[in-house]
Amino acid sequence: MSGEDTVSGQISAGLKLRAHPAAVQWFIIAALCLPGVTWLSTTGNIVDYWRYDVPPGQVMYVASKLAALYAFVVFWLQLIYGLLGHAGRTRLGIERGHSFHVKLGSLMIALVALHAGLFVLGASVRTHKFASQYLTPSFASGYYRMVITLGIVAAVLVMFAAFFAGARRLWMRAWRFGHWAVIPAFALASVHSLLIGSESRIEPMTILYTGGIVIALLVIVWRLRSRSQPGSSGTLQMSPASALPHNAHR
Amino acid sequence: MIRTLSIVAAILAVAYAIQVYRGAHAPFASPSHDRLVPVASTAEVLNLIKQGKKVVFVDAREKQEWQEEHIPGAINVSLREVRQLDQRTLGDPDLVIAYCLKDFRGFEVAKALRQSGVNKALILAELGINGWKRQGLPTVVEGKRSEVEALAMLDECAHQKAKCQVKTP
Repeated sequence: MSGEDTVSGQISAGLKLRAHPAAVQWFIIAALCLPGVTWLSTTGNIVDYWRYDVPPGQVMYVASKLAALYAFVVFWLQLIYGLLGHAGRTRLGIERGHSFHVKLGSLMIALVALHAGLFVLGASVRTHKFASQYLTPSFASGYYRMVITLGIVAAVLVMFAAFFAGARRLWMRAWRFGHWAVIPAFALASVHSLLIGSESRIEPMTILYTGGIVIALLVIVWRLRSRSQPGSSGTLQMSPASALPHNAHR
Repeated sequence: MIRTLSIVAAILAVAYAIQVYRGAHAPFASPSHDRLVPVASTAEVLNLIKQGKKVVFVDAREKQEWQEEHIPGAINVSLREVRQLDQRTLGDPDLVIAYCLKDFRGFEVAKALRQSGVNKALILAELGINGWKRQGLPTVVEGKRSEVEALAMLDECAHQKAKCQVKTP
């Protein structure tokens, strides 16, 4: 069996989850619980941050970390949801329609904005000056700024992809290519998160990150294979917009 | 969808309750002087160094950041490594100072160290390596200043504060 067939077989095995919708649901529940539980395990009782004296901006920092962890999980769910297309989602029993894709994307953008906003605000409060350096890309100012820059580029790519999705009525076909920016955005967000996140490499989160990235890669491969083999399945001509109902462009 | 989110909310509520219970019953150092993590000024730290006390600096950043620059003698322990930390590596310190750039991460590591039983863990009043440098204190800089050189400079600062820009508390 070739490597390609192995990948294909693994993806097919994954799609057999259709027979176990409860497994998919519990997988999603676990994915949504792990960031919160991990954050609680390192942060402890958040009320203590108000009950006792803490350095200025610390609450914003820990809240920013929570927003970041959930931004990653929601981004991952959104990516998988979009890539699977209508047929894939139906097989897995998670089809909620295009409006769900839009809502999930909006939630993800809100969480990214919350993460960045709270971090910059916290740093500004702490240093008594606007921490604009965390909004300015720089690959030559040391490890910390370099990894933050990866996050900035990922956020810009997300905005770019969202813009193309929002403007799909203007560019009937071209918008799909712009929307594919979510894939490099997800890759950069993963690297940003793994290299600088305090919780991202704590044991249960490591499993979530590794599993999430592997599943995302498998679904991307499946999607690309589907596109290159017209007629071999019902999902062949799908693009990230394939979740749209046929009348969505009208 | 509502059922899924309800289950998630219930699990998170239980996890939070466990954290509150642990916080209330753990045998770790309790917050003192209304501070969740106590602070020490650089001048106080230098006085301890001058008296020959053992001050351990814990760099809470990533290893690459520590390699680029750190406070002389600092060991690198990130938040995720605190639980696995063998406290014998700290020796028998008189003071443990956790720090990062501006002490977002330093604060969390100091808090985690105190919860692990390192009662002498605290942060700098000047907040992080940035605050340390603003006081004119030396750091080890990759390719520019070695550990030995920086330690000698720190010792000099501790004994002759006028040589550095350390403000008195």
